[in-house]
Amino acid sequence: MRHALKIFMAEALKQHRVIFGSRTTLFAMVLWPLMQLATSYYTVRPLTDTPGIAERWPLAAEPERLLAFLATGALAYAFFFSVLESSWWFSYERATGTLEGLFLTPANRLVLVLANGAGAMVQNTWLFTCMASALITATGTVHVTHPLMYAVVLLALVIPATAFGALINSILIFARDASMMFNLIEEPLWFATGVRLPLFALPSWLRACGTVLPLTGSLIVMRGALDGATIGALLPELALLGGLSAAFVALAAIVLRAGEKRAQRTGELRLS
Amino acid sequence: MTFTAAFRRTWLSTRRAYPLTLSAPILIMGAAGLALSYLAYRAIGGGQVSAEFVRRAGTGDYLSFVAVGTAAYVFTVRLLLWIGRAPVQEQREGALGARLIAPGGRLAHLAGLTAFAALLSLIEVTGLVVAALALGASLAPADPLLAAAGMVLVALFVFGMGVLMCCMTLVTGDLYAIQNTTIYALGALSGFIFPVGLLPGPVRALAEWLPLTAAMDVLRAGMHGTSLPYGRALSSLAVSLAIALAGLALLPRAQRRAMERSY
Repeated sequence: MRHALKIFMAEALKQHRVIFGSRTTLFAMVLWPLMQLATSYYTVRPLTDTPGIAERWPLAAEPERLLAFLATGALAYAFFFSVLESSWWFSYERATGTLEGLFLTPANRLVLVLANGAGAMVQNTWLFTCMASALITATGTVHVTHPLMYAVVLLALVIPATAFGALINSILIFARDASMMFNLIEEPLWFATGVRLPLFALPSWLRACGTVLPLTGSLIVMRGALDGATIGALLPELALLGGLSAAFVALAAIVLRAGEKRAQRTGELRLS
Repeated sequence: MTFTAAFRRTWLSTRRAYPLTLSAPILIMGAAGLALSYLAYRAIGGGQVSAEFVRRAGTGDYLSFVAVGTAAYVFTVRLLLWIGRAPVQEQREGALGARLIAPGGRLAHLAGLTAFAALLSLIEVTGLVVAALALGASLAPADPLLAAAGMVLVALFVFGMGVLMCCMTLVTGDLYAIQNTTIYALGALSGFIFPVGLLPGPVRALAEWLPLTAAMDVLRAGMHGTSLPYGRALSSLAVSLAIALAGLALLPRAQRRAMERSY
């Protein structure tokens, strides 16, 4: 445990020095999610002021509730996007040569990728979490059954996002074209999970694809908890999220082992 | 000759190194945006748009409005990414110094890069147009000449902005923050997916001041037959030209600064 903690601290410190220590990171932390949120809101808004909206999507009949829906989507997406982005940054370590060095150390590879995602997530999302929470609260639409439900919401974001990050990290660090894979995952991640549209608006095949992405479950728990659902009502979704997270971590371990073996054979742990 | 060399080198290096990275990400981004609007229009709007949208956009044809905007957005992102990142990419690869010593002109080199990006974008936009037509959008221009003029205005602004981004990325050494902030801001403020008239007061004023918004208005006037903002079209032309000239004037200094910093 001490060993793992040291890796977590080292990864977080490395990322702070390399990425998050810069002032320009503020753009990525606040400005981009806010601009994306505004774009989503004004894209959907012209469709909600239409006759019959209360029957089609009752929530959208009130602008405050629509804003809260999109803001929760933007906040949850920020958690998952940060781990996806950190995986992309991590893949550059293969080109700079430090990944090879990392793999020569006795650090556990799985802990390394978990630490990379978690370190980036905390440093990347804390500011937007504060701003989005203030915005969602200001809409006056939050009704939690117990203050502890906020902790449930946070855990339903942090644990699946970390597990998702571990799997993506383990794929991207061995990929030849990590930028391409980053882009291929980025769009479906928001599109199929209900970040900007309610799930009922998606075709059934896309909804089915979305269920394997943990962001879908995180959003269901988050929106449900903030709308007054009890822990009992959210239990099936929480169990599914737990199962998905465990499966993602197990898959990450398998991919890491296979990737390292292949890299040892081909000498491709360093791209230069 | 410089133009052809820049075009050919970009084509060869991109095709050999990362062939899939060429078009797939931007095409997926555009297709996702188009699909989001289509699904929202069907499931949330029930095939209708608000009266305010019709008043602000000048058309009730939501799908065509979004399709034109998405195509223009994809074109904008492609060109900005390509032109804006090229010099800093060259610097990272160690080729900037050699290229500056070579006698080729800057404008011809940038034009070669732009031509390659525009060609690539043409393929992406064609893909999007086919998808939009399949979804039921009507993309026959009401006034083809005016639509072409709108496209030229959009391209002029994007070229100028791309050159200015070159300077900023070379001077600061930062690519990621500059390019993404520019793209997100233009995406939110230029009326690609929704009319800027829907934005709140001060933000709307800022959006209307942007030359790209005016260029989009001209493009929409040509595509949907909405009223043509003559004054704003002229100001878009003038400001876009000024941005391009300022970028070209600043580029030698930015390149010098980048070279000095690397030693």
